[in-house]
Amino acid sequence: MIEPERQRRAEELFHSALRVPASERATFLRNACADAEIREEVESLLAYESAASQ
Amino acid sequence: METGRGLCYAPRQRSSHWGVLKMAATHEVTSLLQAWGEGDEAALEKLIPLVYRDLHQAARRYMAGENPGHLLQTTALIHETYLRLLGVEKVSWQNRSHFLAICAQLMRRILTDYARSRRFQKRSGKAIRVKFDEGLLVPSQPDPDLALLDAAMKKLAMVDERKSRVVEMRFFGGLGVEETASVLNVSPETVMRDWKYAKTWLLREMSGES
Repeated sequence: MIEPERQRRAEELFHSALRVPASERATFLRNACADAEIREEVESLLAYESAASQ
Repeated sequence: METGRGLCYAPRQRSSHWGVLKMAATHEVTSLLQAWGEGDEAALEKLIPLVYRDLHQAARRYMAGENPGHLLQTTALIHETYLRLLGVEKVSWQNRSHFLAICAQLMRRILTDYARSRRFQKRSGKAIRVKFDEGLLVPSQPDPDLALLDAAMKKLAMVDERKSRVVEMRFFGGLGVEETASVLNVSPETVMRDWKYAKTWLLREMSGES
């Protein structure tokens, strides 16, 4: 479990990434966040998002 | 008034007084809801045990149905129990939301205990499966069981308590976005963001990855 401050950052990025077309999300995240752990957290969640929102 | 012992009665043992007692109890809940709506905070304390008992009965009736392994509709359980009462004039919209939030919390506890009880599992041979309203879970995935959801929600509460409450109110209580926002004192937009994030987070947690 990552610490609260980075958790919040991951959450913000999660919502931002959802506004970007799916095919461009990886690029968006690489540009938006230098922290690999946060990026991984967001990517991991995004993988479940389409399932969760169906 | 009806006592807690009523919970233990098997249907065929119910006396002919049952209907009368039940009406008296309903009347009591109505009066307490009204008193609370008019600002009597102590009424809420008296109300909670009655609500717990009512919801417990609703859950038992539901679980005693022909197909106990089928999907739960917790919103329907709470609404069936209180829909009529919540129409009473003197319960304000805010109080109605708070009351449903309390119902949601109690219902979560009742159903999770039920799901964990060995007696239920032995009889039905199945776990109680859940499906979130508004399609939290995809049809292609097996529905997770209720005990698993509760465990995931406890973990979520450690990360972000408010998000866990949003799920509790919306899933177990059937509260709408505006009602949930009013209880938590945040904007409806925040509730929608929390709900979206929490659903995804829980789905990942229940799938065993994180």
